[in-house]
This record gives sequence, structure tokens and C-alpha cells, in this order.
Amino acid sequence: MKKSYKFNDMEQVVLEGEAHATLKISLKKLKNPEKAGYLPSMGIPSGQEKTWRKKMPDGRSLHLKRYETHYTLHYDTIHPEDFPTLLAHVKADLGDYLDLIVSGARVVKRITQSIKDRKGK
Amino acid sequence: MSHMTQIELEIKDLQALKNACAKLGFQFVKGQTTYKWYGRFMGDYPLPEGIRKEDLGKCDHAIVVPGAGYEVGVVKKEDKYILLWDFYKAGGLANALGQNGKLLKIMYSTEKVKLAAKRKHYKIIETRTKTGEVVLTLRK
Repeated sequence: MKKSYKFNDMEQVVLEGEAHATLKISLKKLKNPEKAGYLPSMGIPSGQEKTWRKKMPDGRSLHLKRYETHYTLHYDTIHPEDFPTLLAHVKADLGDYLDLIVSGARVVKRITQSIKDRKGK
Repeated sequence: MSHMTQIELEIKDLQALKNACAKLGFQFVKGQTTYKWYGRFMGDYPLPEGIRKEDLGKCDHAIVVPGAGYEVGVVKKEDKYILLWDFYKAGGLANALGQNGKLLKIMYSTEKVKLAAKRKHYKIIETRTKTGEVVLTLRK
């Protein structure tokens, strides 16, 4: 019988990469995230059945998601607990994407303003 | 024109950087102590932190990108390395490395994860989604 993977091993592997670099792990290979210190958490819905988080001593936040056939594990640079607002969860989940969304919103605002200015003339 | 800046990436694993270069088709040149750039600091961009004007163009290793006139300098700073490059379009690096060196950053990160997995006796199967996102599947 094949053994389960060790959470500690996977954490060390994923923490070597950049934030949001995602590991995909077979569902059969992980058992009891809660026993490994993961706490159920809310997350941006992306088809996952369940989400957990684990805060590392350096403040980084491991983010484990269970899908129908596999788990994914990545880390975020901040742990939502450190910024207990919904926005922090969004920021932690979306990372760079949030910056893109904000930049996009600024561009739309500028275009809208420019159209308004033209109409005003 | 010089657009000298630092890629926001701390290199702690030179082997991962070498592997990343190989994957991208770049040449990591060990011990090359100068790298090609515009050659004159024009002051149009702030100097990378801890780097003096006279240090520009000097490095400990270099990355040569086929088809590019300029090169990336790999500079040792304390216990890590930083990457310096002149991203002026004519130098040819910007296309190959992506905006802010993004392609090299992603590849370095991927290779670092793969090496860490290997140390733990795991294998990483690397695939890409239709959108170009790298998926690293862990296998024993």
C-alpha cells in the first residue's frame, strides 16, 4: 500500500518557490489536514470543496484547497488573521491579480473621466 | 539610453538559476565578471539599492541571452545574489525575460521547487494550462 505524503515535506517544497506557485497533490496522498495544523478557512470560490490555512512562523500563510480529485497547496505572503478584514482574505487569495484589477479600475476611471470631460466641453 | 535596474528576485540557489536559464535557452556563464549594458549611467532610473555607479557592468556571473545585445549580471550580495539588467528595448533583454524579468522569476521559482522536491525524494511533473500557468504535480 502506498504511503501518504508528509505535510511537512510538501510545505518545505512549496515554501521554496514564489508566492502563489501551486503544488497539485493527489487526493489519496493527503490525510487529515487539521492534524497537521491546518484550520478551515474561507477562500475565493474556484471550484474547491474545502479550504484550509496554516500560518507559518515567518507570517506566510499556507493555503490548502481540496477539489474533487486533488488538493492544491500554495502560500500567500500574508495571513488573513494578521489583517482580519474581508479585503485581506481577498488580497491574500488574489495577490498580483488584485493589483491588476485595481490598475484596470483606474484605467476605466480615467477613460470615464475623459469621456465626461469631452461631453462637458 | 540606460534603463538599469534590479530584477526583484533574491537568488539563494545558484543551481536553480542555472536550471532556469537552461530551460529558457539562456546561457549561465560562471565566473564572467562583466555584463553588457548601455555602458553609461544616465540617471534616468534610480540605482539599485547598494549599487554604486562604478559597480554597474560588474558581476560575479552573467546570463547571456541569445539574440540580445545586453546581458544580465549576477551579483553576489552577502549570502545571496541579485540580478542586474538594462531593460532598454534595444538591448533585447526585455522581450526574452518578460516585464520586470517575470519569465526568469517564474522559471527560477519552479526550478527551486523542483530541487526542493528532489531533496525530499519527490518528483515534480510540470505542466502548463491553456493560459500558460505552470502546474507542479507532486509525485513520489
